[in-house]
Amino acid sequence: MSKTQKRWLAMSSLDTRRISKGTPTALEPGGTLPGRTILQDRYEILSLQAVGGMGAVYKARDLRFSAVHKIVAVKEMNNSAPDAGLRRIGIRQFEREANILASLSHPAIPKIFDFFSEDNRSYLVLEFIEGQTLEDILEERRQPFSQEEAVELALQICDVLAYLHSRRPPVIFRDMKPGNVMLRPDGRVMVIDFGIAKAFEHGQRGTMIGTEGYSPPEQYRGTAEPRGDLYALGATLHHLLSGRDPRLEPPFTFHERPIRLSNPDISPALEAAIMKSLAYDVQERFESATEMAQALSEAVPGGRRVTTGLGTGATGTASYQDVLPKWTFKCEDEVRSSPRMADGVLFVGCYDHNIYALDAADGSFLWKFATEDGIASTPCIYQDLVLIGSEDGSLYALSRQGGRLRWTCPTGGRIRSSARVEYDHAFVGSDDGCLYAINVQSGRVVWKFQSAAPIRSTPLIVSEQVLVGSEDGYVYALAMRSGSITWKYDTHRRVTSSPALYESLICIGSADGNLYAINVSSGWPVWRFRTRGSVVSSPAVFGDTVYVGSADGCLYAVDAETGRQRWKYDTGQPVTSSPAATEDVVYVGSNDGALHAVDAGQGRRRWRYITGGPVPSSPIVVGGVVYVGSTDHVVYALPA
Amino acid sequence: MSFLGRILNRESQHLEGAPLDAVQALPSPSRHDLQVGLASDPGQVRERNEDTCLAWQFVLTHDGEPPAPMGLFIVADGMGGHVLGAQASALATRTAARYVLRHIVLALVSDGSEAADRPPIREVLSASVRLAHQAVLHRCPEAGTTMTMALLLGNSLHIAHVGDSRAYLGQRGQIQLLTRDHSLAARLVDVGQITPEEAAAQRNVLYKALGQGAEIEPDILCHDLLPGQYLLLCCDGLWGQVSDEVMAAIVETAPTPDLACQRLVAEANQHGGEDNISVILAARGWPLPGGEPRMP
Repeated sequence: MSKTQKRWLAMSSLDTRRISKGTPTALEPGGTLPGRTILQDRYEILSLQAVGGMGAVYKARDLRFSAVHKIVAVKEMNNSAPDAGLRRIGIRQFEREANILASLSHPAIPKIFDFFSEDNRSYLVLEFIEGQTLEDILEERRQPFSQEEAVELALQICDVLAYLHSRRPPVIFRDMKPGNVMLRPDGRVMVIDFGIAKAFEHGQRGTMIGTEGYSPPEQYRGTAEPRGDLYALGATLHHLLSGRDPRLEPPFTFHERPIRLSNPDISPALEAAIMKSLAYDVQERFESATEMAQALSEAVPGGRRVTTGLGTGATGTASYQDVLPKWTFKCEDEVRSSPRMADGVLFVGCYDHNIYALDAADGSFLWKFATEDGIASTPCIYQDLVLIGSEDGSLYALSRQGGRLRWTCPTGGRIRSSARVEYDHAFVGSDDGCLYAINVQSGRVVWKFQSAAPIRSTPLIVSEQVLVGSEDGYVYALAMRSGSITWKYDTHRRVTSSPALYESLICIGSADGNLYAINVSSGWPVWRFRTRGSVVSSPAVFGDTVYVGSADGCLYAVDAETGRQRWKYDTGQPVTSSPAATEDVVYVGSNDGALHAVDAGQGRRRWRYITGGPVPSSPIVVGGVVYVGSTDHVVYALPA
Repeated sequence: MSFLGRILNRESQHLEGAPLDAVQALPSPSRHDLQVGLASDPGQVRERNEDTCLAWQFVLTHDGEPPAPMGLFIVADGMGGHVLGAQASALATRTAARYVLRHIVLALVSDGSEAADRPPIREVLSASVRLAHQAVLHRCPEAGTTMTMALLLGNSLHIAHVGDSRAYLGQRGQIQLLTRDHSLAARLVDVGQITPEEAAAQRNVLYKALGQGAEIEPDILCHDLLPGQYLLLCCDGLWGQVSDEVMAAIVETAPTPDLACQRLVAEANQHGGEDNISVILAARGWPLPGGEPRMP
C-alpha cells in the first residue's frame, strides 16, 4: 500500500456482514457462487450465509454422506488481488487459519473438515453453526444486554481464550468482537473467524480498510499477546452493555464513555472489571483470561442482593439524614434568597421583611434590619456596605457593622434582582422593568434602562458592559457608562436566570428550557443546551464546566466549550436554586425539600440534607461549610 | 461598544432606520486589518489536486469604529482516488460554505425586517458539516474528505473540524496547533503506544472523515483571533512535510500572506511533496507585529 494512500477506520467493508433475508442483490457482481454449485465434487452450495469484501460464507451439504443430510459451512476467500505477491500472502494466511483450526479442539471453536483452492479462490470447510452473532442480536434488540447475560457470555468466552492462550505456542485470537461470537439456540457460544482479518489487512490498494474498534492499542504497533484478547473482550462487553458501538467512536476512548452512564443497572464492580481489561498498558490488565473470568463472576453476585438500603430500618428522623448541620437559625418566614458572607458574618434576606447578620461560626444573631416588605433578593457586599433589595420597591444600603441605614433608593416595582457593584456603582433590576445604575456612595440613580417586563435577573458586569436578563425574553448588554444597548438576544421566553461568565461567553438560562452561551462582545449565541423544563436557576461556572438546574428536576453539568452534557443528576422536583460549585462537589437546592451534594466529576450523590420545605435558595460554600436557606424558615450551615 | 452587536440589533438607538449605510469607505486611521493568503498545489508525486480551499472575507464598518473583520475559510482534503476525492472535497466545501453563509453571514446584512432569530454558531457549524457529510455520502459514495473550517466574526474564531487537516493559531514567535487529528496514529500517540516520529509513518489512517460512517459530529472549537495573530489552515501535505517551527518561521519572514503560502508550498515540495499541499493564512495585520508574546 502506498504511503500516501488514504484509508479510513470505520464500519469496514472487510467485516463479514451477515445477510439478513438472504438477499443476493447486495453482493458484488459475479462475486459469489450461485446455489447448487458443487465444489470438489463434494460440497453442494445451498445458500449464502454472509458476505464481505473479500469473500463469503455459504451453507453447503457434504455429498459424501449420502445417507444423511450433513450440513457444513464453506468459507471462501476470493483471491483476485492483481499483485502476485499479495495473492500469495492471502493464500498463506488462509492456510494459516486452516492449520490453526486443525490444531484446536474446544467445544466453542468450530471444527475444520477440509481446505482447498479452486479457480483463484480458497475454501475452508467448517462445522456449521446454528445461531446468531452477538452483533446481530444487538442490532435486533436495539438495547443493551443485561449484566447477567453479558457476564454469562463473557465467562464462556474467557474459557475459550484461556484454552487458546494455553496452547504452545499460545494462539492469539486478535479479532474478538460481537460479530465473531455466535450464540447458539442452546445458549452456548462459538468463537468464529480465526485470524482472517489479519490476512486481509494488506489488501487491495484503495480499499477502505476497517478496524473493528475493539482491538487493543498495542496491536497497531504489531504486538499481539494474550492480554490483547482480554482488551478486545472488554471492548466487546462494553459494547454489549452500553449499546455504544466502538467502531463509531474515536479509537481507545472507552474510559470516556462510562458504561453506567448509559446503563445505570450495571454494578460498579462489573464496570471496574471491564475498565481494567481496557487499560492502555497491558501490564495494568488482567494477567490471564482465568483471572478476568474470576473478577467478572465476582462482580455479579447472582441473586445475592444486599437489601439494607438507607432508611429502611428507620429509627427516627435523624437516621435518614446523611449529614447533620453545624448550626441552624430560625427566621419568621421563608428564606428564598441566597446568603452572602464577609469577614465571618453571614447576611441573609427573609420573607419576614428582615435582613439578618449572623455569626457564620455558630449562627448566633448579630443584627437585623427590617424593610417594609419581604426580601427575595440576595445581599450584595461592597466595602463597608450591605445592599439589599426588598419587595417594598427600594434598594437599601446598610452598614455592615450594626446594620445602620445609609440610604435607600426607591424603584417603581418590587426588587427581586440582586444588586451587583462595579466601579462604585450598583446595578440592580426591578419589577418596574428597569435596570438601575446607582451611585453607591450617594444612592442617586445615574441612569436607568427600560425593558418591556420586570428584571429579576442579577446583572453581571464584563468589560464595561452590564449583562442582564429580562422577563421580556431578552438578554441585554448595556454600556456600563450610559445604559444604552450594545446588543440584545431574544430567547422568546422569560429570562429570570442570571448570567455567569466563562471566558468570552456568558451562560444564562431561559424559560424556553435552554441554557445559552452567548459571546459577550457580539451577542451571538455560540451554543445552547436544551433541558426539558424552564431554566430559572442561574448557572455556576467552575473550571470548564457549567452547572445549572432546570424545572425538569435535574442538575446538569455541561461542557462550557462545547455545550454538551457531562452528566445530569435528577432530584425529582424542579430545581430553581442556583448551584454552588467547588472542585469536587456541586451543591444545589431542590423543590424536593433537600440540599443535594453531588460529585462534580461523575454526577453521583455525595449526600442529601432534607429540610422542611422546598429549597429555592442558592447555597454558598465558604471554608468547608455550605450555607443555605429553606422555605421551612431556617438557615442551615452544613459541613461541605 | 460592540460593533457587531450594533449591526445585529437595528433597534439600537444608533442604528434606527439605517440599513446598509454602514458599508462605506473605510475610515482612517483604522483600516481593516484582515489579510488573507492562499495556495494549493498537487505536489511532486500526485497527478491531481484533490484538495479544495475556500477563503472569503467581508468587512463592515460603522460609525467610525474600527472595522470588524469577518471571514470564512475552509480546507478540505479529498480522498478516494480517480476524480472522486476532488469531487468530494469540492462538494463538501460548497455545501458547508453555503449553509454557513446563509445562516450567519446573511444575518449580518439583513435589514432587520426578517425574524431576529440567530441560531447558535456551534449549531450552524455542526449542521453545515453534517449536511456536507450527507452530500458526500449520497453523491460521492466511494469517496471522503477532511474538512477544517474557520469562521471569523470580529475577534471570535469558530472552528469546525473533521479529519487530519489542521488549524494553527500563531503570532510572532509562537505557533499553536488548535485541532486534533482524527487519525489512528494521533490516538496511538495520545495513549502512549507510539512516538510522534513513529506516527509519521502511518499518519493517514483516519477514523473520522466526511463521507464515512452513518453519522458525523465535528469537533467545534472557539478561540480569539486578535490583532497581531494569524490563523493557518492546512492539509497534511503541508504539516506532514514541514515542522510547525519551520512553518512559523516562513510565515513571519514573508512579505505578504500570499507569498507566505507560496513559500510554505515550496518548502513542502522540497521535502518530497508526496501529497497535495493546501494552505490558507488569515492574519490580523501584516507584517506581524513584534514584541512580547501574548498568547496564553
